[in-house]
Amino acid sequence: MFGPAAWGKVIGLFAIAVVIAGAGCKKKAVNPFPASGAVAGWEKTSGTRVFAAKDLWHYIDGDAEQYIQAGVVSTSTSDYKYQSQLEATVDVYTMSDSGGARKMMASGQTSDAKRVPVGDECLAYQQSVTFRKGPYLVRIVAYESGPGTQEALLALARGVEAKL
Amino acid sequence: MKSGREFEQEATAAGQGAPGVTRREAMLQLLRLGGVAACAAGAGVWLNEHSRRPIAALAEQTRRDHRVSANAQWPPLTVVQGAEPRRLAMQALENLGGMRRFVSRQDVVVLKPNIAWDRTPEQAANTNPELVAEVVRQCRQAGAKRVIVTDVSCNEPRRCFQRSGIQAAALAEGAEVILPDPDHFREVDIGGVILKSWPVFTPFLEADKILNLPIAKHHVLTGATLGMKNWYGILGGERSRLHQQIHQCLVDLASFMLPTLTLMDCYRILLRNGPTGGNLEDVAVKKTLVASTDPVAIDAYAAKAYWNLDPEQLPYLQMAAARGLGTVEFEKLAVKVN
Repeated sequence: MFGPAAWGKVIGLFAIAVVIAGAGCKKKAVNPFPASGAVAGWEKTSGTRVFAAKDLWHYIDGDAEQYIQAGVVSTSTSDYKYQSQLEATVDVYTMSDSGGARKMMASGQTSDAKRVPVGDECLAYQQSVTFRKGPYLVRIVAYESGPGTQEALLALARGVEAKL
Repeated sequence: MKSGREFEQEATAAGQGAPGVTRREAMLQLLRLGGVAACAAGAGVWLNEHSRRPIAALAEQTRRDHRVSANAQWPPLTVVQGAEPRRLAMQALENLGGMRRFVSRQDVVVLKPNIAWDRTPEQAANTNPELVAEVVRQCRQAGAKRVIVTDVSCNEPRRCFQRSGIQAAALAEGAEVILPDPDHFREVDIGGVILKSWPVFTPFLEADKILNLPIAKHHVLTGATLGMKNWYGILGGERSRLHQQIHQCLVDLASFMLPTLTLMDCYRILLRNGPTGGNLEDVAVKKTLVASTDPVAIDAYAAKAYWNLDPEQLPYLQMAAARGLGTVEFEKLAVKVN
């Protein structure tokens, strides 16, 4: 039947197939933060900080508890500035599943929110935008509000959404 | 031939390079110096024992009771409405007897606003800076030796102190603004049921008077964060643990730290999504200040007024009252309302 050389080729091909399959299954690490200039007018003004669930309290102290209860896995945050003036912070919460993102989105909603088509669900306020996409919950909060603030925040939100 | 004494005198003079100083005289001088040193040491010990600052070892185990005596002439709680923060603070203090009732000349006064979050005043996550500024001004006018403004922030402290507007406002009135420094915490026996030994930021341990300046806000865990919750900001360490049995921890802290006075900022109230906030739509402008010498009554009042929460819905209030820290029955107190 097969000689040793043939068996060697079969095993080798099998091993290559396993490696390729493994690489295909491996999740790519997501970087949700657009680089400076990737979204018109927006500049990334800080490095990205990442907090595992058990360390989230270092960032938001007692507020961390509700995210932990909803199944947060990790949180990333970075600062941005629009046209060298309007400052904002982007927080991306990676939940264990889309249910966790939906739960956090639902808590604290008000009738003042404007529904906008970004991701799976998006609420825009005067000075902030929150949206969810799959297991990700994204919150963008600005530090002042003006005539173009909401539009600028939505543009940044779309930039983040495109990378998720 | 010289005598032994003559040889001794010559040797002494040669050795010391000074004419005519005998061993006897040197011994007498040494004795005099020793006597002076002993007297100085004794005086130091006496002064140390009679100093009004507590001895360090005892201080670490003692609750911080900064209260002043009750006075039937003045109400224990006041509510002032319809003005800007500085005017609200002036009126509230006048209603309670004036700042000189609470702050004496040469006092070291520490003000504890909420400076926890990287948020602007309009977002109502921190105490109003104008309220803090007015309280600083009044403390200095009352003759305080030092007025310190500080908090152990949740977000990055430099950003919180700056974005809240509190640093600039307090400095403009002559306060010392102290940012939390990891090297200036001291392990203290809180003496609580849950809270035992915990690191406390040292300015809070070395004050003569402490004024609590919380902002009234929604809190996702307790329903509301008011005066007693504000004491979390004196602590270092792993504060996440304090949110797990939160009501007992609140009472433990409130038993440890009894303020001189609480002035609760209700100029803007964060009605939802607290304590972090961020949405202007969650903020209601109420233009109110509530002040009280009773830390339980003031929390009970604000919880009812803004969230319609009764003490039964806030276990820490009833627990604090049971411990004798104040009363939940604010409606039975003499309350002055402007």
